[in-house]
Amino acid sequence: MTHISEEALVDYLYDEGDPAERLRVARHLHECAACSVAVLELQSVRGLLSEWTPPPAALGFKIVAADEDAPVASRQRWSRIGERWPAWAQVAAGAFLFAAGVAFSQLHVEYGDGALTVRTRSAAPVNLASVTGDITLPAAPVNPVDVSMQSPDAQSPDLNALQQRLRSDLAPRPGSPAGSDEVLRRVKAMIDQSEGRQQRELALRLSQLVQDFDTQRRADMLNVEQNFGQLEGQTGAEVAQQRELLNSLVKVSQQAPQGPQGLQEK
Amino acid sequence: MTSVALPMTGLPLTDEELVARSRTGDTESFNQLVRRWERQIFALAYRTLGREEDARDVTQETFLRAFRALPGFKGDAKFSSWLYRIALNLCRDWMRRDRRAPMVDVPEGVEIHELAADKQEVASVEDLAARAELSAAVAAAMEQLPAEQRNAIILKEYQGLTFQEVAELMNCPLSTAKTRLYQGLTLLRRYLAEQGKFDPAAVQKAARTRRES
Repeated sequence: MTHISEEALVDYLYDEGDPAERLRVARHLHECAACSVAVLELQSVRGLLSEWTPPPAALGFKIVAADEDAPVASRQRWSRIGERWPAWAQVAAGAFLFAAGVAFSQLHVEYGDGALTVRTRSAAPVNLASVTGDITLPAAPVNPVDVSMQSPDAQSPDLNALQQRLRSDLAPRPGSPAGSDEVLRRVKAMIDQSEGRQQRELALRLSQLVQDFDTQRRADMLNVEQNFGQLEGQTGAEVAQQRELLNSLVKVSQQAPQGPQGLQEK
Repeated sequence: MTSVALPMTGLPLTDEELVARSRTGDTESFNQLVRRWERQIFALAYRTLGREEDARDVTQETFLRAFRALPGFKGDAKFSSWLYRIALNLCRDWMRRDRRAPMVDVPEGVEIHELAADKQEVASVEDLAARAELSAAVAAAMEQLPAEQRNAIILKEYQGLTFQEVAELMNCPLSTAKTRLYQGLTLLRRYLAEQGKFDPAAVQKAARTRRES
């Protein structure tokens, strides 16, 4: 066809392109029998094409949220719990587990006046400067009278008796000032040693508790990760099995001889 | 076409809005996109591959791949164009893998009921049979076309894309897309005439009548 270019004819057929150009084509078609027939033939072909319709197949595909198919960060799994949880949640969980551990131990924890107080069942309270885990113990008392670091009301009868005995034993005796001083120094040294031992035990117990908690946390994490890994492995295996089954079915159906009613047999 | 309505305006969400929601992991929004486009993708795959089960598999795979690739979809192209591209690539791979030309399965008499379901008016059995025969003839003629011309006709005639979109999907210049379409229609005219489904004499007569009026 030489009268109208192929592109202009196609634009005219599908009502696209420059409107002025389409108007020029329309005028030409009114005058040119050959072009008019050509356009009408192609319009007839288009009419026939509309007869070819796809079968009304049952579709209804649906994406189900699964870890493997998730397009975003949900691919991260429980195994990376530490990465997924916000910092405040991790701190809260840690604090909860710590408190639970403390409840089973011989420690008693109180929070008040801006400081954390840790107390053994029978020992004196120790003030911790903050809740960040840095444990600072107070300086050992020098005065032997304050050996128990508790008010007399809270002391047990045994301790009171011991205190009374010490007071009587350590009371300065006339005539022997040098001997009294020697005994006083020894008692002071013993008290210092005892105090230091208590503090060391407390610090050791606290560090063990923190270590136990951390070990338990790591074990739990590992366990969760392994469980999810197994779950993933099972799911993947099932999917692979199904895909293999489908592939074999498709192969069999393709190999099967096509009868005259081929479409119905499929 | 099913659509998600905005709570305040009642307007259906656009593809772009649903894509944005889907990118955050909202599978229901993506399923809305699936429901919106699965028929078109299936029709494209069916007319390209010619087999219903293949077309269904390709359609399913298209949406699966789209969902997986959603984080990488930048929105440079329309979502539908992106889907069409995935589907066309899958169809090409499908045909290449099977090492065969598209097989059109439109046996006689089978889709009479299917056609009947689409039509509102009550048609006679003869009419339905004639339509089924015509459908088979068109499918067979399409099958004979070179792949590039067939794709151009499918995308333009059946999917209703613009020439620009057709050219982009076929990775060719605009003029080439139009030429392929023209050549494809011209070949179809010949094939259909050979099958007795197209009467050039009747067309010439109609053209003469139109010009005289």
